[in-house]
This record gives sequence, structure tokens and C-alpha cells, in this order.
Amino acid sequence: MSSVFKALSDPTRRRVLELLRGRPMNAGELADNFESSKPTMSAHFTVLKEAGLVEAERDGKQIIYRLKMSVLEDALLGFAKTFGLSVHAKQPNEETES
Amino acid sequence: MMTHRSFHLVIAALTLLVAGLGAANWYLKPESAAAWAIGMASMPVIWGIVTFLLSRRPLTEYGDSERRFFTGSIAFAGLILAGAMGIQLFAALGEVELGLTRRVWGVAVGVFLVLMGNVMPKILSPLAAQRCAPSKAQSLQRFAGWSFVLGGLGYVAAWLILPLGRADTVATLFCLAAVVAVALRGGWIFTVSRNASSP
Repeated sequence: MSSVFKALSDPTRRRVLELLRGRPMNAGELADNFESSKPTMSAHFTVLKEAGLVEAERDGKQIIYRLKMSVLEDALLGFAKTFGLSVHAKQPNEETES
Repeated sequence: MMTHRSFHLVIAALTLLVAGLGAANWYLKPESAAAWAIGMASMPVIWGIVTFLLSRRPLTEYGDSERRFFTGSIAFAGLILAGAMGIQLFAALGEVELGLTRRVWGVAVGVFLVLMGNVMPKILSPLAAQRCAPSKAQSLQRFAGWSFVLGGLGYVAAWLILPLGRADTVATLFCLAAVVAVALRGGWIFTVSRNASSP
């Protein structure tokens, strides 16, 4: 559960989940909505995958990301968005470098 | 991994268990014959529906999470029926106090509905196997998950708060409301998709 809180603590990752609520998207489509670099976005995707909040599925040359959130996790996302969950989490690029 | 054969064996065992309990209840309380008959007929009906569904798409073609959810739900349906009939049987034999046992059983069923609804949006079928737009399937799954969680919470609350005479009816209404809401939403999504794809 701590991996879920960690994943939801970051506004970029929350925004990714909100985008995926609309429809499954590939990595490029998701990254286009952010100013972060591709490696940073990739690290965010990894955190979300490890928390079990998204699923990545290869479709030809693309990787499609889909929402994989339970109702409780969905409610937590809404809660985090409303009240600004701000658990201190390492930045993804810090994690990947260590 | 549960095979096609072992899955049918589990359903057969549950069908026999429910039939046995139903027959014993019928013998002890013949005035409720209609209720026992409906209970006993439920598992064969579920088995028929499952067999029909699996003839269209074998169990091996489902994703892991889908298969677990599918088999777990069928087993749960059988266990609910068997549990309800078992409680009635033990009450008829004077072994348990029917009121409290029914209340505890009602709460347990409601909690399971909540747990089932909670994981419903996590059950993802492979993209290639989806028969409608992935966004629509996802939308329906999320809606179904929320509906069953809220319906299940209502179910639990009804059994915890209301007098026994009304708890059963109100709890069932919560459950039915969730099922109807999901069916309506599914029907609406299907209609909109068909209209959008027709020339």
C-alpha cells in the first residue's frame, strides 16, 4: 500500500492517472501532456506500474498504458487531488540514479 | 491455473451441495417449497450460463486476473447459496439462532460484494481480446466497480442497522440497484458505440 501512496504523492503521476481515466494511451501521447523529459516520464511510468496502478501492454511497436486502479485506489486519487496529498517522495530520476 | 475440467468439477460440487441442502430444507420445511426450488435451480442455471459463455470463449483465453475473478465469482455465488441454505437447515434443526446468523451472513455477503466491486476495475483483458473500444470497456468496469462497492456498503448497512424483517428486502434492493445501474450503463455504452459505428 505504501507504493500506492508514494505513487499518488506526485502531481505528475496523478495527472497521468487522470489522463488514463479517459482512455488508454501510449507513452508518447502521455508524455506530450507534460514538459518533463522522456526519461523522467519513463521513471514516473515505472513507479505507477510498480504500484499496480497502471498496466503496460505492448501493441505492435507501441506500449499502451491502461488504468489498473481498484475503487479504493481511485478514491485515494480523488482524495489526493482534492486535499493535495504531499507525502515526501524521491523524484523518479533520483531513484533511477541510485 | 484452474483448468476447464476442474472449473466444471467445482461448479458440479457446489451444485450438488446446494441441491442436497435444498432437499433437506424442503423435507424439514415443505411450506417454503418455492424458495427451496428456486435456490436449487439457481446453480444449474448458473452452470448453463457459464457453459454457454465458455463455449464462446474458453477459459484459457482469459487473462490471469480475469480468470481468477470469473472462477471466484462463480464459486462465491455457489457458496452464498449453500451458506444461506445451510443456515436455514441448522436453524430448522434448532442448532443456531436464525436472526443473528442471518445478520452475520448478510454482513459477510455485503463485505464480499464490496471486495469484489473494489477489484473489478483491476480485471483487465488483453487489448487484442477486447470486443469494444478499450476506453468504453474501462469506463464500464470503473462504473461497475463503484456501483458494487456502494451497493455492497448499502447491503452491509442494511443488515447492520435495520430490523431483520426489513433488512433482507432493503439489502436486496441495494444489490439490485447496483446490477440495474451497471446493466443500464452497459446498454447505453453499447447503443452509443453501435450508433457511432453504423454508417
